[in-house]
Amino acid sequence: MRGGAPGKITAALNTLILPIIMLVSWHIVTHFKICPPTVLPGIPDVIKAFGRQALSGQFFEDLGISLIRVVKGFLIAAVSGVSLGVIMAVSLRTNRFFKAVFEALRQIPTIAIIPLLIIWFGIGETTKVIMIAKSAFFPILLNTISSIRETPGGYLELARIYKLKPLQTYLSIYFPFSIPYLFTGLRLALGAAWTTVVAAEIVASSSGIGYRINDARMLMEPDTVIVGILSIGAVGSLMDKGLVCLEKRITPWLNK
Amino acid sequence: MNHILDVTGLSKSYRVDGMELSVLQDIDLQVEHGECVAIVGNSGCGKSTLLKIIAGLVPYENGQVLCNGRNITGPGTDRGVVFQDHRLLPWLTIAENVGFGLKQTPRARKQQIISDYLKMVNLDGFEKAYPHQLSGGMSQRAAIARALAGAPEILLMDEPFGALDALTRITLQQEMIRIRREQKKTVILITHDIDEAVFLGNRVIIMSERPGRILRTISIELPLERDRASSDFSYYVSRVYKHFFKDRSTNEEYNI
Repeated sequence: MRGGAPGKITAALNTLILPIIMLVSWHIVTHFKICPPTVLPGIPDVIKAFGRQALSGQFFEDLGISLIRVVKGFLIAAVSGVSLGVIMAVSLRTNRFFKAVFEALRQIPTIAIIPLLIIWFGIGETTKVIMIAKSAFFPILLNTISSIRETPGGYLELARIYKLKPLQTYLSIYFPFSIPYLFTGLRLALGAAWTTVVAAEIVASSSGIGYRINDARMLMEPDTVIVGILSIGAVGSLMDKGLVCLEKRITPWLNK
Repeated sequence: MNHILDVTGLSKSYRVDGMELSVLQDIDLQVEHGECVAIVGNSGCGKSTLLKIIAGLVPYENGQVLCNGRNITGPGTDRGVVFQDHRLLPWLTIAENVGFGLKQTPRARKQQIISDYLKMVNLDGFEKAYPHQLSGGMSQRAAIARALAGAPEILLMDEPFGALDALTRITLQQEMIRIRREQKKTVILITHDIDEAVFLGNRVIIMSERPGRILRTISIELPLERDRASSDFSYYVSRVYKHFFKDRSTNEEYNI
């Protein structure tokens, strides 16, 4: 049953069966009032809440604000993670210089530094961008370092035979070899960035999707809370899918 | 000073766990223009180290290694290298791999060289393929094309056909004969295949076990195109063979 139309249908069923069970149970539980709507609103209510927010533009405004924060923090993390990763992989001294601090910093959950960041920067953009960058930095840094370290010696011998300069060696050997590792790092980082922005907005913000969830909770609007939660999941998956597609596109040699 | 390659009194040792491990001892080797020298020895006899020293990939302390009268201090475009593993870069197409060493060559000229050498190794039509789409034999042909594309004076081959199946190996050996007829390149071939050494070499050099010394040089007085089934060919093969398996081969004769 592999491949072909019947195989595809079975595979689709296989994937969809759990979500369908969950949606049906949700509907039964709310429709027959087993669960009060103040605790769990029904599916039609959630759809209505989504429609309301979409029409007023509030949904896209929230989403846009959160996404811009993610992009800012993620870009800072990507640029600094890749460049520092390369330098730390090549230079033992730089590696030793940063090692202790980075190891410690990596163990500190981003949530734990929120109070300090609020004292320093208030609840403005800076706090959130720093948090996102911190969460996204380490997956990128660590994957960059291991990609450089694991570059086969044979390829580097080739670089010596053809007398490539350091930058040429990086661009034509290290970098292409590291792309799959890099994408693993970027995917982990993007996931971390997205969860961090929501956490940051719930704790310290007056805008964005995380703020909306928390605000709706205080206004006793569980349907809006659920719209927020579901859209966080959907947008996160979409961004991950986007990275996977991008990787496939720029690494044609890996499509076996 | 007629020799293209002149090795005198070369010794090389490595430090392993604080112990001095001698790999090459008093190597004297003169290679003439257009000659093919096959170096045969057991694994670990230092023959690959010798090749890497000539390629400029491994430094040496004692003795002298001259290429065209100049001391070898590092890799150079006058020497092309083919390794046992093809070492094609997986992210480059076959054409890009063949042109890898031609960074300075103008575009049109480069295209011409690439297509010429791909034709020479019977790979025309595979320009846009990636290495993983090629068989082992085809990849090794591409590696030979890459080494030749830089127009080296000496082609250094380190067990180039060792990883191929027997039939592909014979095909590629025959192609090497054809390439040598067309190109008149000086070739240094490291191998542990006696048959291959006698088939391709003008001279077969037999190395001792570690520390590697040159035990014997056998000139193969046969035309460039050789018949493996001929008695002359078998004569040379058995002469080389006896250097490695003296005891066993006499025993076998008694058994018969």
